[in-house]
Amino acid sequence: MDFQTFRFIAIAAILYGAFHFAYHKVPDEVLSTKIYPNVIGHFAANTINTLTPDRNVTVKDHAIISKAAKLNIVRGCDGSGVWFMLTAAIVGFGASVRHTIVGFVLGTLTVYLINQVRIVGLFYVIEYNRAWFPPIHTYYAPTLIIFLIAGFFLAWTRWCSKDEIATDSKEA
Amino acid sequence: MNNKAIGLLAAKGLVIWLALSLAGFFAGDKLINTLLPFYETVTESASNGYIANIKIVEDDVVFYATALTAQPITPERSLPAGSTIQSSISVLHALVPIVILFTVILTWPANCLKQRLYLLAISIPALLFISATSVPIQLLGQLEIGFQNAALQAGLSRDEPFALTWMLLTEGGGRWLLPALTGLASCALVVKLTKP
Repeated sequence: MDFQTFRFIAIAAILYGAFHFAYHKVPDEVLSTKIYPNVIGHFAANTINTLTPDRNVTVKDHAIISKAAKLNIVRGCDGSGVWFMLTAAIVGFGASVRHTIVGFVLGTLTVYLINQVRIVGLFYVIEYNRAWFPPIHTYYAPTLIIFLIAGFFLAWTRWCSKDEIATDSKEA
Repeated sequence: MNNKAIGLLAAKGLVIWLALSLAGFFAGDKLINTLLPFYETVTESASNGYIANIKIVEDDVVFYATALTAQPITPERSLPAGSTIQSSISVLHALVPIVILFTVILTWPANCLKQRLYLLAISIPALLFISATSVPIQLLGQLEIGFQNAALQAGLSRDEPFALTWMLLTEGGGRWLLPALTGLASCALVVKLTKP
């Protein structure tokens, strides 16, 4: 293994650990009564009500509720794990400050949007067939999300490398 | 690598992910069943207080832990030696890091057959590494949650044991990061080893 790969893996792993421990310092109550309803719940409920107005979905703390289904957003269902992974990878890659900031902002938006699609999708899954919820929630969704985020990371690293090659050519 | 090659690589990755996910969903219990003795060995080494008996019961990996010595829960209360308690995680849960690891390794664009064979060979220790750092510690962590809750009910606080800290780390996303980085490290190592 070359030094750059080793450095990337080490920085990403250490940063991930640091983000994780910081996240666990946030009390459950703050997450479930402030962050989840405002950052995730209302947006997801609006999406569901726009797509299917008859559901008349409401948000109560960390729960998205309709007559037929209730989806609780709990610690870890907020996309934090994937966000930490991606951020750690972006910082660990060691691109320029501009590339890192762009990667961080676009990466955050990507993770947020993917997670919102997941939350809305899981709500419909519960409504349609509860038996499908465990495999989709535990198995298919996490691995697919990792794949999509890896795709984003690959695209971002390509953009960084192309930009750096272009800058080097200009300087030469 | 040009845009077309990147697109093909992404499509290949998606097909591999789907194939592995479906294979895991329908036949993953057979792979986990093969790994059970390994899980037991690691669990016993990591806990040094239990005899581990791990089985697949319906869709769950169930850990029957028989205490070798009294396991302290609170200063006044302990789990007596010889008693058996249990914890479990679902088989699908156990398969997640394996699907991620093999998606990375099989998607990696190998240059030649030699590199592909090396990748297959390195996937075995990689599989054992991520298996050792995920399922056994998660099962031990589940036991510890029970002890923590019992201590809390008694109005006492209990130091967080390593198994619980590690379980929380892996459950938060570490069990995705670990196989992704292990896969990447395996591929980088193979590239280095097969460099002409």
